[in-house]
Amino acid sequence: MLNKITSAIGLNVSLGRSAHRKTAPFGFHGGLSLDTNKRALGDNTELCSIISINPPALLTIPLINYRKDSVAPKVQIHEKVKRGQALADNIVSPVSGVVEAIEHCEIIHPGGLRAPCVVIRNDRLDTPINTDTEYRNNKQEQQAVSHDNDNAEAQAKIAHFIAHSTTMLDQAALVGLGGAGFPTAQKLLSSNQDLQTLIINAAECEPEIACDEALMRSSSIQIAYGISALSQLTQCKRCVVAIEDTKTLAIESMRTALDTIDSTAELMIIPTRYPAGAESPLIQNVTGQFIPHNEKPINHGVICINVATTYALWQAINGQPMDSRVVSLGGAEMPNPCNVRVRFGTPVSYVLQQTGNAPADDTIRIRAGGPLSGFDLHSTNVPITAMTNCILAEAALCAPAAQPCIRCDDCADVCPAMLQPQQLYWYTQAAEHDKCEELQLDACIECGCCDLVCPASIKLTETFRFAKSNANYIKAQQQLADDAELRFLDRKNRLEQKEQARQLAIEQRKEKLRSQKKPDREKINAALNRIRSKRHTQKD
Amino acid sequence: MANIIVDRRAAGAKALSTQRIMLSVVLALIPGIVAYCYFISPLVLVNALFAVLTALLLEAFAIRLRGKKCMPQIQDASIALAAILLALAVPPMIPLWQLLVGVAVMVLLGKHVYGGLGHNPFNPAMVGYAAMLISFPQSMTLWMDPLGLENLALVDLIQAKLTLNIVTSNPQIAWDGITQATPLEHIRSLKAQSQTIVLSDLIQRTMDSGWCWVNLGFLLGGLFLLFKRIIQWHIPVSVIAGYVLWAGLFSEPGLPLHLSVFSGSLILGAFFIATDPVTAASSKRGRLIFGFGIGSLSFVIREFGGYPEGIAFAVLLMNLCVPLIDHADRQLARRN
Repeated sequence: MLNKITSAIGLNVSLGRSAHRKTAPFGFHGGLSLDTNKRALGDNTELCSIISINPPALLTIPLINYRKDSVAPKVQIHEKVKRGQALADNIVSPVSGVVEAIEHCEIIHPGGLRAPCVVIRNDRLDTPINTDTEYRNNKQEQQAVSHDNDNAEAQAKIAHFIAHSTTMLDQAALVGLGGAGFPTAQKLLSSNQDLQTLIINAAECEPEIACDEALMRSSSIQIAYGISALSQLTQCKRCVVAIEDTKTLAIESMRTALDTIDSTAELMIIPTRYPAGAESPLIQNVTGQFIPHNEKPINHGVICINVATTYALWQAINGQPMDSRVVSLGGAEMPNPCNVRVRFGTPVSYVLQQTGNAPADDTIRIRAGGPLSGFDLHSTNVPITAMTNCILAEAALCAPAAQPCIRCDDCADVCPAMLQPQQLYWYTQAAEHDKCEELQLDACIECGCCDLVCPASIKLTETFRFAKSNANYIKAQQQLADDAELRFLDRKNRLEQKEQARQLAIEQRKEKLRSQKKPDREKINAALNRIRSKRHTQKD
Repeated sequence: MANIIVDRRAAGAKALSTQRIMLSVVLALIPGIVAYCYFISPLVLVNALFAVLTALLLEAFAIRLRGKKCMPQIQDASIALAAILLALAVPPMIPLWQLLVGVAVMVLLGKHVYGGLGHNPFNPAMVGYAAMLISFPQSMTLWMDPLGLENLALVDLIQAKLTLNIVTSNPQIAWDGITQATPLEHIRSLKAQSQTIVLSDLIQRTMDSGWCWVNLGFLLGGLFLLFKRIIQWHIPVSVIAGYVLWAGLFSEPGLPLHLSVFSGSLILGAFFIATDPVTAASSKRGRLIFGFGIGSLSFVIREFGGYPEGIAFAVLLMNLCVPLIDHADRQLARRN
């Protein structure tokens, strides 16, 4: 009752971050109701095929992890690699062939960054790696399982996977396919605590992106097996598959699949509202918990796994490490929008060309990622990675110049992280980093909602992204300076102590000598006297 | 090539631009202005036109002085809106040179000395109004009697608008005949003479003078803004609630509340002046406090102060408190 009254007069923020609704889905703060605009799904009929394209002759695999740190390669130039062979930690070769080079190449990055990459020349044989016999057997069985849906056999496979989970996950090279690319094995193996809720993220809330929806329509049974394997591995108390209510065909197909394999997972239909598929709003929606940005969901008994990752897990259980993903091709200027399965390392230009989507002229902007979370590409000659969920083609756009902020606070109303974007903007412009930290700039999930509602067309998300990386840079520099100071002080201390010890030793030696000298003088005198007296006696 | 991070067009953004917001507010003022023309005086149109033109020129000048490009900034229409609000706040018979002083203070001292739109701590229209109220007390309390206007020849009218001093310019005209106090001033003067207030007379006076209709026009415009989500309900509701609370508790027993709400400029202030986002508190809770403060202060000034109308000073005083309110709100939000 109290909650009702206070929320009616707008005081709900003051009374803690309570859930917005009493029953699941609980809802989340802010967000926007956008046109879903999923061109990649075509006319939204039942048939929704995922196109396959042949891998190109040359593939470029970036040697970077989800934090954009470079990782050491495990292969050498001119080395022969097989499909599924580890190129580095958690990165496998998507084809068989020869390592042509290990060099810096442009990658998908808003700033057109170059990163170390392994360039592989495809021999077009797709020879799988022979790590063990298990792998080959599974490889041959893969076809059979996906066709006759033999539940017992699938359960046996899952049991085998649970028994050998560490090694199998290690070989599978799974990363989250939702967009952040976090290593799945790391997420799963850190869940030693008892897991309350395993959330399968099938929300896919951003306009234009439809790769998960297409996958759910075409391969729901494999996804269901993957979910079953995950819930058995994590021993979660509850497994929830969260899907937005506008994806009616995907919901239907997932429901049938989960029923077919008698899964215990429950299907939760959540309202279509961007960014319902981001981790924090999703957890709020499903469990009603608000997880502070600096804490991991796992410590609150929740894990989120993308639905495409569960499909990849099932493939991995069948012996196929993660080396491809479904990419949505969309946007107003995409002649032939579709969903296409692409091996990692395939250049964007090759994908567009193979699907009949090569850009007509230079004015068309090619974006990686959705209209809100993505960015324009500097060049299309960059490789697709696990994070690339979508490629958009949009007409040239001259962005309106930013006007002064009029403090309308619309941005705060839509912010799912419950931040105050306009105040953060003020402080980022004034470069007041400590104030930004106070207002929790780090908690910004860069969803872009504030940009969409800003009447002054201020590029808030871009500003925050820059300010965050700048703050990290400043922090790193501060850390370096602090380390250097510590080293310097250590050395100074060490030298001082050494000097002190030396001085002490000198003093001690002097002292020792001095104390030795006193009795000597008497002895010498005595000796001299003796000699003198001896001489006297001799003379006499 | 500019690297676009959030593609507003592809995402289907439907945000209103600053210009659209300001023009919508101007649009919402129209019913009130029409009622004003009909019941009070059509001279308000002359004042508004004059204020808008001079404000635009002065703003262009100020932006040039600051070394900026003037077109993109003038286009946001914010100064035009402020000029219309100022013209609505002053008596229609005000000499134009006095209005010019008000507009100059509004544009230069109210807005551009702080760095233009988004940076001014005080509501520019109210800064201009306050400066005029203090500088020209006589002409600022000279309200037109609609019935007296018929006695005034057009030539006299133009002369009065253009000459230096409205009262001494034309001694032949009995100014008392063509001007009258607003109902609020009437109540004040009655109280000062410790006469009893005859309610029916007062209601009659309010209806006759048409202020009630003007305020209903502004209320209609305010509801339109709420409906179009140009403004949120927090400020108007809390301004009126703040005023009504104290007026209900402490004002003269015989005076009905709706009369005092609809006879002054409370409605205009609550929906159009206090809701200026630049100078209001930013959070919802902060806006409730801000609005309540304006409502309460305007009652205090009407009841105990030296001016018949309290909205302008109440808004300016609460503008002063906005940084404090924002800070306190942030602290409170963090504690939760």
